[in-house]
Amino acid sequence: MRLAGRLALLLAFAGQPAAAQPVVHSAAPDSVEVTIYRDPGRSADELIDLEEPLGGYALITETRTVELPPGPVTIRFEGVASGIQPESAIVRGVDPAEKNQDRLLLSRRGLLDAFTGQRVIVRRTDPATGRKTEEPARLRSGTNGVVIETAAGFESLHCTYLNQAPIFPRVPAGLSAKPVLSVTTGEQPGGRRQVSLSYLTANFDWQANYVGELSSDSRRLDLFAWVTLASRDQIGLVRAQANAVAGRVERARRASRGDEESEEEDEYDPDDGWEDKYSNCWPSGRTGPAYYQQPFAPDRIPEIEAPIAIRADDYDDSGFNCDSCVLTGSRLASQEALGDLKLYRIPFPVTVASHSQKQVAFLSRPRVKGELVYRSEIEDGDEVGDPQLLFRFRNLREDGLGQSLPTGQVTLFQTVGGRRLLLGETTIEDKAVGEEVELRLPESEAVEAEIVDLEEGEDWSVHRLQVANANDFPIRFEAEFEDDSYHRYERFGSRVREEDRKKIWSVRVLAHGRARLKYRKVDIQDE
Amino acid sequence: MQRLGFIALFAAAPALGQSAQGDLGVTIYQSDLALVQDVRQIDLPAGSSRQEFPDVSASIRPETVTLNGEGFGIAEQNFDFDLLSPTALMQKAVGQTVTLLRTNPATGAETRERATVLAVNGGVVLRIGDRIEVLRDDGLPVRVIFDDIPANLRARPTLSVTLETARAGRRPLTLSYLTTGLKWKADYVALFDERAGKVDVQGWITLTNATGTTFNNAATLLVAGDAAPVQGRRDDEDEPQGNSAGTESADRERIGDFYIYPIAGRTTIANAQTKQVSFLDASGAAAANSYEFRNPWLGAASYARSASTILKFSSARAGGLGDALPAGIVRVYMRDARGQAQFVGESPIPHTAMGSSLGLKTGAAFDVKVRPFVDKREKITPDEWQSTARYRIVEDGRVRTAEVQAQKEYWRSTLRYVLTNARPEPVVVDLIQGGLNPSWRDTRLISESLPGRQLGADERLWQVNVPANGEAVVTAVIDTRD
Repeated sequence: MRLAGRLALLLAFAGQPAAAQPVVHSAAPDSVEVTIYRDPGRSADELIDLEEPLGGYALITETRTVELPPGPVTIRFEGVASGIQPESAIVRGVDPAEKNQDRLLLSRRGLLDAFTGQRVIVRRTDPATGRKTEEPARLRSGTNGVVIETAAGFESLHCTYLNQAPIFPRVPAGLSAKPVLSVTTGEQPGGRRQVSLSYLTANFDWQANYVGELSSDSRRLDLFAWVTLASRDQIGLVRAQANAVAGRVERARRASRGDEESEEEDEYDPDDGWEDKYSNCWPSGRTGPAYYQQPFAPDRIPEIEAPIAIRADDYDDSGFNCDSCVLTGSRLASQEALGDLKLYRIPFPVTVASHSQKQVAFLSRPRVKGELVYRSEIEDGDEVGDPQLLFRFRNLREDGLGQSLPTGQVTLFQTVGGRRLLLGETTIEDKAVGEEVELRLPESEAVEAEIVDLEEGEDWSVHRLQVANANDFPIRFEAEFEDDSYHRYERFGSRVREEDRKKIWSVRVLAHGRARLKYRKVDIQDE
Repeated sequence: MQRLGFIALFAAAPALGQSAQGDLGVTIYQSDLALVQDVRQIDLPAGSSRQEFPDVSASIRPETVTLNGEGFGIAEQNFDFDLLSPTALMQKAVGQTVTLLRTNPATGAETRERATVLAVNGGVVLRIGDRIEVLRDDGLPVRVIFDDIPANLRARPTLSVTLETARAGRRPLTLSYLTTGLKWKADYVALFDERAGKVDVQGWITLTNATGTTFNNAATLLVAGDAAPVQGRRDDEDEPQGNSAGTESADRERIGDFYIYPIAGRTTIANAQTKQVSFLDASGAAAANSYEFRNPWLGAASYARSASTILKFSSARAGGLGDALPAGIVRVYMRDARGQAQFVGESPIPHTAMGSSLGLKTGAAFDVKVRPFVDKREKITPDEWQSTARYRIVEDGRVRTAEVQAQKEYWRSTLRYVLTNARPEPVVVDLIQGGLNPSWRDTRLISESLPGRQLGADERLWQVNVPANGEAVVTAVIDTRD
């Protein structure tokens, strides 16, 4: 029995609650490392929305120093992230026999539960004079609606609609402001220890944001990219080593967003089942029309939200608006393989504030070789769709890139006649080194394609596809012919390549030039 | 009644941690069910007496309560779950007199009068002297003071039993009941060293208490292996390659077919607590990373898709974890370049017998991708006939038969798979083509560029070597019928 071996040490204290062991408080970590994982359910074109709970998550590793007395001891880790998944916690540096997370929170429900049967003070405020009176009372029932025992007898606290409130003499033991993770060790010699604590926690997210500058001849792209980190956790991470992981990471279902069953289990609401202090009051039906009775005290404390903290003058942070700074290699996040994933490491400590978003550059590659492609699909045999504009490049070192590209949004600019113009916004999915990347841009007006009917037979017709390029530079045009159950294409006037059951005509069109392709369409008879 | 004094109303310290519970034994099943045995020392008077049992689980299933002990018979069992609330207090006060204390909002002057509660139906109807009034009909604040709290209204759920006792004296009473709100599952931490081909696995039992009650100092037993649905894998998801059930027996205590995991010593399971206790610590088990790509039907993809990464290891005694694994979630970690353990994915596992092979999908490979192409799809009519109908014709008392035959039609698909590997070392990808048998008949493989293996009528597997920073191409021609 391995289990017995590990836990036998606890036997020494059998017969006493675990709380009888010495408790060591660890108030805050010495250093923090955070690795952020992308929301698997957020598609590439969806922005991170800091107004909503974030669907991504993070692995936080904290290093803490604790001073331990010898023997079994309970260490309480305070100040852990509020979205912690307690079952994922790993503790190194001490041999934990038991890990606990207590979610009895210091809340009105926690206070009432703890003081049920205890003495409290009831304070009343005279609405006419503002004079306050205090009366000792005993709390007889809390959670189901407050019933107090006063010198006069037994009464409800809230159903009177008087200005009165219970005053508690102290914070009861065992209630904490935030869920607290603690570990109980076995027998150990004591002394100063360095303990590392890692856990998965919700409400983080990240993505890549690319900025591309297309050269004026549209054959080169200056590609620059940010890692955008976002946190909605209540605890800010100060001067943390921050990383981001790219690639698809499998999560078991309970952690995914939109699964109501798991949310119920994960989210512990300290006021669960007790939303309103008036909810268990006796019936209040009246003979007259119901009217809204304004309670004397505000029945809801406004939610305080931390402002989004972006400090431009933070020396340890990268600048937020960094259009003009020169980024040297030491300011760029480095990339390494983590198994089959990619890890981006930010090379300087960053402060990931609560409810904030932060950007650090990870890629800066000038003059990536590629080409502008206009692509049209032939529809119904003799119609051509508006050309779709693409910038196509291969993710190769010899073409000026050769670096993994994680999912994100791309903004493309081009300087035309001395003015920087926004070409469009698009997205990129995870692209490995060696893959072809197509950045889709909006439909173009500068290149026009049309089809002219030439000849027609019983079940065939001959057409001509013509393309006109109004740009000041040459472009590549591609037309895709896909055979379907109604049409077949044949007898092309120029060479076409076959790919994935499509026939593709690819042609270079000079500046202000034209190109033509003759082809035959055959209608397929229903057999 | 000595111990009951503990929860006396005048206790000085907060009620947390104080309890009337006796010697507790808790057996927790995985289907949100636990058996609680609570042995309390109680002094029983001779004759009929009413005994109260506070601090039972707030999520108790009262129909399952039994009370055992010597020298008494149970006259009546009551489960008073009338919780004390203002509403309950008012309802129990029907027919009784209460004191109304009114405060003049302008002057603050108090007036006091006695009232009889006539009815509590959507509003409280009172008789004050010879007047009939509805409480707070004027919307003004009023204190309603009750003379007493009825004995069966309590702040916390309490059991009460009327006993017929033959002989007075102190004795142990064993209270046992089932409760919901206690759950356990397993959580595993797997640290995978890809280069060494090893995995270290720690198993933790995760216990959650949502009963509303703290169980103090309980002897705790966990039972694994029931019909509890394992959360995690979606039903429509295909299980990765490499999973097979084991046939070894673990060195664990069993009850029937169930493994049991006792927690050594006694432990306090606090309300709203998640508690984890280690039960497995295995290091150096052989493990390997593998890749799998499944093309679910005879179709193409418009771009290269990532292959799944599968972590394979065994729970066998030899070269594996050497234990039976209760259902739970395995979280996989790998060390980064600086030696820091980073999370790389998690996967649920069902109850797993010792000796099983496990293949856990941890994610998708950034650098290993597959793009299936359909190069050709054409209709084939080989010289094969099948009978589609047969008639039995009776003519002038003679029977003859006629048969209608049709030529078979096939769809011939020429599939091409391009496998790319941007990693600096060669990889092997398990390439699986699914959807081979759309009509459950007559599917045939015409040719394949690499010898494959049939996984069943519907799927074929090719193990493809993809060179470092390179690509591999597999082609297959398959005939299917509609």
